[in-house]
Amino acid sequence: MSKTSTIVLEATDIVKTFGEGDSATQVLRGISAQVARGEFVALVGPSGSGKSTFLSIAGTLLTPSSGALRIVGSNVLGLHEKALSEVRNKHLGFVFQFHHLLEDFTALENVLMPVYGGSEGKSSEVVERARSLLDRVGLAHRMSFRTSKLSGGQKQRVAVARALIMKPALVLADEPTGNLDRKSSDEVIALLREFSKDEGTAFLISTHDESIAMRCDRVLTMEDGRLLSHETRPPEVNQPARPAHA
Amino acid sequence: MVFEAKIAVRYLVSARLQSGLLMFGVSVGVVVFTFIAALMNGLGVRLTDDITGNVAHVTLEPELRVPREFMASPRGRSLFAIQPGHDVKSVFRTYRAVLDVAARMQGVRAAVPEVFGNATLARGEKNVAVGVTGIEAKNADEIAPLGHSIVRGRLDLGVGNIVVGSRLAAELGVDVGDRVNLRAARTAGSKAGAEAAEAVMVVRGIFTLGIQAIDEQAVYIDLTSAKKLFDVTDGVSIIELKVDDVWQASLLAERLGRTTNLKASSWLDRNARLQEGLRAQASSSNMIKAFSLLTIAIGVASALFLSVSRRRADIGILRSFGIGRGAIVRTFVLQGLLIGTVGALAGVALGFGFANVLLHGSMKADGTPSIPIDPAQGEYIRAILLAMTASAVAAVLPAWSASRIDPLEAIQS
Repeated sequence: MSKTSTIVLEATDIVKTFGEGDSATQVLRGISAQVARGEFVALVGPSGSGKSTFLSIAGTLLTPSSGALRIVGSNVLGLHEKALSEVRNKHLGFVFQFHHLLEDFTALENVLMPVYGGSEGKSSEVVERARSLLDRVGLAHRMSFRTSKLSGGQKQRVAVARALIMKPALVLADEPTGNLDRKSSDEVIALLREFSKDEGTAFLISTHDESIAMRCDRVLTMEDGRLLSHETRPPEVNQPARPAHA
Repeated sequence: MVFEAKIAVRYLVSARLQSGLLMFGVSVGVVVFTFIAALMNGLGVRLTDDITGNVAHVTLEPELRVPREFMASPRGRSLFAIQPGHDVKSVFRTYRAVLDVAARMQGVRAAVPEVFGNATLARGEKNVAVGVTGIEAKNADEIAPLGHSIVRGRLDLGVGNIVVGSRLAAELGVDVGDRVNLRAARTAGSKAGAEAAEAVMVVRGIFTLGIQAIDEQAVYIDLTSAKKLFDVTDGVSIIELKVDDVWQASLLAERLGRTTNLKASSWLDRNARLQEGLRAQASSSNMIKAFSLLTIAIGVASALFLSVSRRRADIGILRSFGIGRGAIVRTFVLQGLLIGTVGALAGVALGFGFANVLLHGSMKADGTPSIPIDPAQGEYIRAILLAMTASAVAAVLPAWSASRIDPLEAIQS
């Protein structure tokens, strides 16, 4: 497998400016970064450094002012809304700081939601995968519970399962543990790490938590809209980036 | 679509009180719709029945022929006036052939030959001018429901018998069994100095049709007596028809007129004001119905706008993992459709019940309702379809606004 085929996210010189004229604010000032399949990457930096904006652009939820963006090898800038929806559905998963579950639905139904955006629809295999994911995040006994009945940690684990249901190449997690206590936070990161290893899913995790960053393959540090460094963890701590499924 | 339906149902169920109130609002609108339809249609039918039930739907008679002027003055001024005879209608002798053609025409229920003329009905010193209808006893009930309208005596049109209107009977002071004198008015063609025909008749029945002019002035005798009275032994003056569909009467009259070369007119020609009244009534009824639908649409649209606002984050998250704008639109339009469907079904059930309660609650002692409502004419299917359509159409704008929500903005807020 060529190197380019293992790159799931390739951002080149991304610039994002909000507003126009005198009130224009440049939030991203030429970000270039790559994430390979199976990599577990942290994105750190102070508040206002542009982490969330970059994740939103990487997730095709926001259009950059300039630059290039490729998801799983395909240029996604300039695609129309329907095509972008397909890219998000097929290749990307999202975990947000606030779980953003649909509270009128059960845990299992929430996990299955992205399936309806896809072209293949709900099959028994997909339902089985949803059950399996909920089992792996420790919520087998809560599948049929409305998510309004779950704790914060449980909700975030449902959100993780939902992000993974479509077997995405890349999961973008914006402060996924920002709303959790230490124990729940550790459990969620361990889960993400486990899925990264087992399914070859790449994770780009925006976080303020140094202990989380320390558990990643690589740390991208942002400051004032710029990427300062590509720091690779020491070999003894670093988990090797897993290539695509052999 | 299953996905959208699932979300739509779940959203409605999760906001039970709001959804229930909204559906109740729709059903109230549908009740208004069906009530107005049942009332106005019932009133229209009653008015039409009252009029068409007692009169001929189509009449066939010879054209009135005015004599030609043949004594023109040298200076072009007429020295005389022509006054067409009006006491007895023109007579046509070929009526049997016409009767046969009319009776066989599709849509004609009954064709009745009659002799019509003016006369004076006298009892003692009292005289009243009357319109005499001579009709065969077997046809006595075909044009006006005389049998059902008899209030004293019976409908017996044997030779020498007469049936009179109740107001006329009261004016003359006659009752069943009394003898009266019926004297034909002099016709235009009567010989000068000739005695008018006269007959002594026995009052066998007194009727009330509820139409003042008829109850005050109409009398019925048998056809043979009338022919003799008005000296038209070998013809009749008019053929009256009843048709199956009263609203097709003008069309039938036109066809019959062309076929028979007679003067054919329909009840609609003689009741232009009724037509205008019914049209005005239908217009106001339609306006009220349109407003009730508009109210439904506004209610559904405003409730769904609130729902979209409440579900903003949900919509954002659905959009973020690839649920398309079309699916969001369908979800909210389906909500509107479901609200409209459930509300409309409840509304027609309530409306039908309400109309029946009103109908039975307003029954008079004679078994007729004082409110002319007809529950069978509530236009229920139309109400359901229109309420569903109004609700679905009303949902389009909120649904469209939901589909335009920026997922990132919704998630971040």
